[in-house]
Amino acid sequence: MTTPHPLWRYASPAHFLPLTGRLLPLLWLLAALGIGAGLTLGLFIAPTDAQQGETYRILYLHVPAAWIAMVCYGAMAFWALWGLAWKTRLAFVLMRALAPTGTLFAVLTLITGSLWGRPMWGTWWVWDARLTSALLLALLYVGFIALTTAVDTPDDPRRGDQAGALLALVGALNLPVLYFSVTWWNTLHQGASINLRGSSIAPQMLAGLLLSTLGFWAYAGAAVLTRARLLLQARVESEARWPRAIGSLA
Amino acid sequence: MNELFGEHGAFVWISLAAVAIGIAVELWTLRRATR
Repeated sequence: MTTPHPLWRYASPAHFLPLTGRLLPLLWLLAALGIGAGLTLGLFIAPTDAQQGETYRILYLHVPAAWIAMVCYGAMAFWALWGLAWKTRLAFVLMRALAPTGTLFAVLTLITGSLWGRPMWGTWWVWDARLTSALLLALLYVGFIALTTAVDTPDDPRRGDQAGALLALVGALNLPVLYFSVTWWNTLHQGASINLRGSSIAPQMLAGLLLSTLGFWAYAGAAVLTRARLLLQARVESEARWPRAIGSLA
Repeated sequence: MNELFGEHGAFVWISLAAVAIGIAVELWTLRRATR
């Protein structure tokens, strides 16, 4: 028998719970500082945009929300694959813990995008590739939660895990469509202003955007890990009830 | 309201409110589940 990789030990509740217990206060602090500093800089200090005026400030909320919604779904698909391949309990717990936070940010992306679109484009909504795939992402999240909730039985979450994992994997096909929609098709939505090669926005604006993004990321991480701890504790308690139940039958 | 964020200031404020409400609801549900 081969020795498991040291990373595997973090899949055990005995390691995951204390580790996240130490990490969470740091993440909550980072979230408060990042969101506070980023939004102060973005909303009140950064210069007015030459073309969009003050309304561009909605993007300090919209862009981090859109990134988080997209990456959370990618992470959900990653843990779904991991869970199906190696049957680790923690992988499915993380997959499920990501869904509500991902849903929140997907819905906030649609709301803030719509509120930016009305004054800038003159319309709340258009059925272009970017907006439609963003709506599909929100619906996939809702579908995932509905499916796992419907399939779960009180003491056995495994069927819900597997059904949810399949939906998460199939839905991940939407991610490249969502990300590349602005380059693949001629959309009303603008292209990316920031990529690995650099950014096309003013340094002060960029600083506000990166700080608020860091803060929202820390918030999303903290919320997901808090939920994962709750789900994991519930599963451990549920599994502990089985030997007692069998013992009482004997 | 419009003095701070210009002609379309209401759109910025409603966006901020939507994010604040969303986060508050999530934090409330997590806190309730933790108890």
